[in-house]
Amino acid sequence: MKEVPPKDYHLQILHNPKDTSVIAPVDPATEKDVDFFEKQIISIHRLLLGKGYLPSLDAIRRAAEEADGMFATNQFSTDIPQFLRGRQPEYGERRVLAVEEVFRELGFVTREELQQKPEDVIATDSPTVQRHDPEIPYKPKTKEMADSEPSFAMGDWVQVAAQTKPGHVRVPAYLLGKTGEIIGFSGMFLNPEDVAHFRKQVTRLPLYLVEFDFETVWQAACPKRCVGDKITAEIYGPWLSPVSG
Amino acid sequence: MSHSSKQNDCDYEHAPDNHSHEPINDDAAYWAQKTQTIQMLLEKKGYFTADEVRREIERQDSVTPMLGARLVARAWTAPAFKARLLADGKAACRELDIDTVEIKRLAVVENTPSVHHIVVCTLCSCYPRAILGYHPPSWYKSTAYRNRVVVDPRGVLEEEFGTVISDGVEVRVMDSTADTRYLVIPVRPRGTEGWSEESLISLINRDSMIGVSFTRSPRRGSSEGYTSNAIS
Repeated sequence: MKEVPPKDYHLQILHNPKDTSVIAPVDPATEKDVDFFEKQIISIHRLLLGKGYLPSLDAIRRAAEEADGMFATNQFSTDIPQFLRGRQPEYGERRVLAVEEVFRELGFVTREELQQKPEDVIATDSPTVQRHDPEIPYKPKTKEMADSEPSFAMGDWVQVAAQTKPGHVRVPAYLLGKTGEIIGFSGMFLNPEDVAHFRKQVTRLPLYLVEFDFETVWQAACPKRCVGDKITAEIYGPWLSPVSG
Repeated sequence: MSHSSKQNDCDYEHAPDNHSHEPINDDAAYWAQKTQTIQMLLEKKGYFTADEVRREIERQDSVTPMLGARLVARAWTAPAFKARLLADGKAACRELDIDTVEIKRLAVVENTPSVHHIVVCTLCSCYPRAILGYHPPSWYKSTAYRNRVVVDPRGVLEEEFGTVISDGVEVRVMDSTADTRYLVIPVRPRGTEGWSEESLISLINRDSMIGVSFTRSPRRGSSEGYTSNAIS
């Protein structure tokens, strides 16, 4: 299958430090029930993960960010109906859009098939669907990280890259350029940035637990009551560079 | 009614079939239908059966924060188990027959009188689903929580959740940015010495295992039980 390069309308996850909106509802008694379709779509992609048809959730996360960009810039594909175009999709809706996109990319379904109603799919004369034994479409080659890449030990001070890069990344925007301390090594994991875009070659990377001081992250904007508090995040090796403590 | 009579306002005009199509103008019906179409297409193509999807939904529904509460109650009462849970969360889950196969790495962090952990995922909604349930609370998924809790966790806990963290306690916000999922062991409430694991479980609410609340408080003067007005 083809690699899926970053789209120009891909919108990385933003962080608004000035957000003051209310977090509600927080009372479990009034929490909104999860819609059945959301349970259904999550069950569908979990089943495909378990069977190996999906390598991970990274591509779905990437496609969800593309949906964000599509709605933010009004660059809709023809199959988004008018009545949905005036607002950002909610959590479960965004997931459905992302799953559709990824399933199309993987060749599980076509755009035309997805425009059918369920009763059309049932119809025995449906021209587009026939049972077969599906193959696993994405089988990347795994590459080990070059020895020239730096590695870090507990207690090392590191700086997160100041700039992001196109496509799906797992570094929060608010930590770009910030300095922190390595406090743990989580293991070696396939680079989600590669898997998210179905790259033919996927690098196995070290993943570090990095601790940041609130004051370092937010500087003058750090609330007084949070001075001395910590934020920890997991960050892949290539995003980090050594700094002297 | 005919397909052509609705063509101007029907977004399915390119659908390759001969059936009539009512346009759907109801969000809930639209998403339900869309998801059902995805499922049925994949069933027909042999990716899974309808029965497998139904059983997966039932399995996910059966996972509740009770699993996390069992881990926490065991950790409170068995120090050796707590040490194993803190060292390797997935291995300790296996001891209690809790299936964490889809969690790559489970880090269990302990709240103490001097440290308070809070979990968030600022990039999406990473959550220890296999332990606390497949559907995180809506506030956990909200941009408001994800934006605010990494800037002013004490303010968010106090103003939104009614949880006041003392000045002398260090707050650690765990942003689940990659492959580790976090479970918080809350502080064991005072007055529960000698309680059975089963009684302790009744005090352990989901939100205390995310770190936005404390556990329920034991009922004053009672041997085992909790107050009804505690934060849950």
